[in-house]
Amino acid sequence: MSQGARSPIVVALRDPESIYVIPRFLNRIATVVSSTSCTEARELIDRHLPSVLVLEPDLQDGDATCLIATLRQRVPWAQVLCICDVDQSARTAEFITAGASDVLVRPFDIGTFLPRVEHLQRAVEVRREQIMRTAELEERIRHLDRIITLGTLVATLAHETANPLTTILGNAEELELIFERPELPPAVASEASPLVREIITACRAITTYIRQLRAYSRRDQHEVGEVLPQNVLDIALSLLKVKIAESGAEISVDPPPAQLCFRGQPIELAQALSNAISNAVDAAGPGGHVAVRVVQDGDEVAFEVEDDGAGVPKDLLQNRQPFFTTKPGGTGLGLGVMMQVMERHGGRVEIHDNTPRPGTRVRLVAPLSGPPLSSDGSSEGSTSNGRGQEVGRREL
Amino acid sequence: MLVSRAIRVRIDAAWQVLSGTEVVIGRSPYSTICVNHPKLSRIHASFQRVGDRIFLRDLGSTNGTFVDGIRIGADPVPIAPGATIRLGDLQVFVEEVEITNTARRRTNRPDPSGPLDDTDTTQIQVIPDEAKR
Repeated sequence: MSQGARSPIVVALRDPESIYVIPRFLNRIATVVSSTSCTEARELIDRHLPSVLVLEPDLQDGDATCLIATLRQRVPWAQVLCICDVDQSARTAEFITAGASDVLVRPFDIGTFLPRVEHLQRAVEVRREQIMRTAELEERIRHLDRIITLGTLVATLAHETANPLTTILGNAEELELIFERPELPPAVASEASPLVREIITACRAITTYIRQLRAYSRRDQHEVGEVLPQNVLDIALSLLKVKIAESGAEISVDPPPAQLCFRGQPIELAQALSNAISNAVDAAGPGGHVAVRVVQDGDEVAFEVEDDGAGVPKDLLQNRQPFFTTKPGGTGLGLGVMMQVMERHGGRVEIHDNTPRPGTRVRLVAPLSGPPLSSDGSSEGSTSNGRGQEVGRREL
Repeated sequence: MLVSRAIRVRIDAAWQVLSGTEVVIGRSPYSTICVNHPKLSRIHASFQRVGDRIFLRDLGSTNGTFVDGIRIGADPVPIAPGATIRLGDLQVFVEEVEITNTARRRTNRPDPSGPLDDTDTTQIQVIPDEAKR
């Protein structure tokens, strides 16, 4: 049974015939609470929060039009049925202006009355859905506003931090060389060198993070050209050479199909692929396995990265907000970068649960024909074309 | 000419064809068939057609609603063809009728160059039981 049918119907009537007849019919479809004055009707509205109100214009203590606003303040999706006399066309207009959902002009056949009220009860459900949906969208917009503000702040921070960080990193690398000089006392070198290496490692981590942030926040203007998948693989793997070596995960790369060539931006694709492989390596962990392959599927090309890690919980698959991550120390930017790159290529990111096998399979899919062109001639992103199952982000 | 069959509820000269909506009989001006009879309640009883079946219910009347002499309550009761229906002491007829709708074009228009003027005529003929069989 619908909520509209469950909640009582409040009637506010003055005409004795209406008071006698109307509640008797309404009783068949809902609990009815009756009033004959605005004051009484207001109390009933406060007490019962009805979804449907049936009223006549002039009650004992005044104009009933104000009851519509009173009700809508408390129950925004409530529906109001007004009963006017045939010579009250001005009042009918007032009721409609005040927000009445339906107006019945007397004399009317009571046999047609219940279907009208039942229609309003159904409208309650529709209106409630609309209002809830609107509220949800407004909350999302507010959230996006906060994300935009945060993004601007982060982009500024990244920009302002990059130069001093380069100085720190350069000096630390210089110091590392200094501490290797034979004329320094061995005790000093052995104590200082690990500290300097930690500084260098930390600086490089921050640099990587900043690079990701900047890649996410700006559109790089790489030229679209012919892409050989092997080149994309080579660039991505070279970016991750150290990470793969240190991870303890085994990585296997299947050679791409011979002659496969498509239009795109190889640097951006390598950036997206390196994020996918980096995630897979993290997910697989020491002793785990990551498989990378390139497949042609009709008029599309897909870079597939599969790991045998723990997989991604289904309830987290839909979360695509920037900075969302479940990985300790994760930035939550990698999937954003991947999605940006693939959307700019007119493609998409698919994340598949490998159930019943362990792990996750990520597919970076792009059309062989290359990115769509925007009005200014540059490559333009697009949303998913609906092929395959495009799912939310995974841990990055 | 359009000929169709329908079922109507009639009390004396007042009648209403049964379609999907409820036909309410009583003294109230809100009734579908309003009959000012002392033995009728303000809203006495109602008929409703659901598919091919016709249901009757009492709406809390004082003098009762009777089908073949048996008083019925608020729960809808199916009405068999030929059943005798009484509201208080008022007889109600449920009849199958043939409705003939004729649209005729006037030929004696005062201004032959003026717009055509159609008139509709609706004739209702009760179908006798023998004809139904």
